[in-house]
Amino acid sequence: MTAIQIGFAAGAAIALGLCSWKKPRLSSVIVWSLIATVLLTSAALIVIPGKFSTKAIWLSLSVPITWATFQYWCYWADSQWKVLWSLVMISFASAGVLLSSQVKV
Amino acid sequence: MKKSRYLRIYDLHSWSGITLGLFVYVVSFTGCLALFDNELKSWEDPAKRLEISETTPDMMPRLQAWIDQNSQGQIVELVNFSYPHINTPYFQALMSAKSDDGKRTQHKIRWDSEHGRELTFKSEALTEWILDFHRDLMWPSQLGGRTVGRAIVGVAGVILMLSIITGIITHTKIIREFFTLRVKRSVHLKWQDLHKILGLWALPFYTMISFTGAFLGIIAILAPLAAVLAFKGDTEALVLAVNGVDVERSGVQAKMLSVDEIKELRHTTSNLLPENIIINKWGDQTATYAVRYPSLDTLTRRDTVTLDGVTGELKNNERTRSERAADRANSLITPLHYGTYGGIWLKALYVVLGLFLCVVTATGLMVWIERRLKSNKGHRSPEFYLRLGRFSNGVIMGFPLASIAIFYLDKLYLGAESSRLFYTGISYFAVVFLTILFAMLRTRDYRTTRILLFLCSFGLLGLPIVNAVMTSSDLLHGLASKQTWAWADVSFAASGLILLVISFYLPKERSVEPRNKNFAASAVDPLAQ
Repeated sequence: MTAIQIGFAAGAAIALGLCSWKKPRLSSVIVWSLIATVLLTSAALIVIPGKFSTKAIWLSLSVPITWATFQYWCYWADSQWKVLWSLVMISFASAGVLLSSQVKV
Repeated sequence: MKKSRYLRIYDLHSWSGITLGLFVYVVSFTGCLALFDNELKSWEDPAKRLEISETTPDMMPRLQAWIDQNSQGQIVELVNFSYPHINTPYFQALMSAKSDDGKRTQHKIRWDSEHGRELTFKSEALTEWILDFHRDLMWPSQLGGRTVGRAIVGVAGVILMLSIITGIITHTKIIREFFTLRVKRSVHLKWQDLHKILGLWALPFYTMISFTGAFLGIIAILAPLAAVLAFKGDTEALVLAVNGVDVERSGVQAKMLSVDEIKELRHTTSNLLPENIIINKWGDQTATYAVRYPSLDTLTRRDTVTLDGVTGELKNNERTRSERAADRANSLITPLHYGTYGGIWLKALYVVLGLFLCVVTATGLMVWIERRLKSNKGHRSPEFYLRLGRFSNGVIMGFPLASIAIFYLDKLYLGAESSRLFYTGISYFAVVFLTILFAMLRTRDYRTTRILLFLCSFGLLGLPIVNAVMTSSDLLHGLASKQTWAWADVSFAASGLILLVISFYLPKERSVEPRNKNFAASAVDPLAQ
């Protein structure tokens, strides 16, 4: 990674942190729901057993539903912090699965 | 449901509609036109109006000679050869070749079905713009290209899904709202009832179109991203996992199976004749022919039979493969979204329901603006909301007008074919911009809408005339011989007449509502004061 890329990533992380602190529900519905969807789908590709091409199709089909459900959950939950932390935890847990496992084809 | 939760969900419904409502409108409106891609192609290109000859010439020598001529020193990677059929009544071939330095070139040719003579090409800028603007907004390559555009359109699908869910939750009296349309009450109530009634009656369609649209859009960027993450960035392993191991070229030259032999090869299940062949590794011993058959009566896009390109031996039958639930579900998406599984009347139904969706988004926006104008809910000045209303009016009327304008451009354009798409895009955005400007500068909104509707109706009524003059086509003969372009002309004229009637009946001014005289008087023209 170049210095510019590191700087850009760090800037984005700080901006996301600030937005999440100031407007937890709004940042959850716009950013965290998307991050959680992508990472959860990627982790599910590894964790769920079965033929790769078949589960890839089913998980692709589930992406819009998962995303919309997370977005809806952001406004359904009474506590704005609870939903933010849940989405962050889903993202981190999924990232952990991705880093520690190997996809089976 | 708790009141605080209800209000939050209602806010989400409002704000998702306000921030992206016009975008959903644009995607929905352009989608109504994109449904008729094949039908409009015959209106656009006179070569598509040719009749298919019953006796066709031998095409293999012509195809071979054309490939030899255009692939000198290059490896032919792919050839797509199409037989004449109703949408393209001529033989057509497309070739992709790669030189030693990795540079790819593409070539295209078409021959008439009677004598096999080469036909000249007319750029399909009109239909390309209509279809691709809906699919990917013609997103420029400098900003990430079509994949990014496609993903942005997919976001419109997700927003629509979210609006549907939140809309249902906020409808507490759903059964009553199914049948409530108070036409003699205030403008605000009329719009609100129309928004709810159209939203509820066509709910299954909106759910289906938003899900399939979201899938087709965001999947272009999110599925590869998820897969690449799962493979930790190893894209080669990902391609292998999805496509399987591809047989490499052997380097041994071989005589290819004749496309004339395959022409009469009926599908074992549907008994239909092939539409086209995708030929991989042309000229090599490992070449394959993916023979593609139409599948009009089912929700399967196409039936594909793969043959050995040299011996003609059967290698794979896609119909068998598509019986797997996952493949079946995947192949449903595109026919469901574009309504290609049930003929022209199903597409007409899609258009009506798609236009309902346009009305739902437009009325939702108007209700939001109206509510802020009438009550103290809005934090901005009334002028701001009036300007927002006029801007929305400009967008809502601008895209239909721009779409009509590019039909005229198609027939009146005199420049080079290579620049046709560019000028189509310029004209499209110019008309949208001018319409928005016109709507913003005028203060009498009802009159503005009337004028723009009149323009749309006259534009539509003029299209059959322009087509007849520029292509010397006979509408009556076209109708008698069931030509698609003739039905397109009739549809334009009928739509123009309907819009003309609506324009006549549309009020010139907003009626003064008894309980809000002060508001109504100021809402008509406060910016002009």
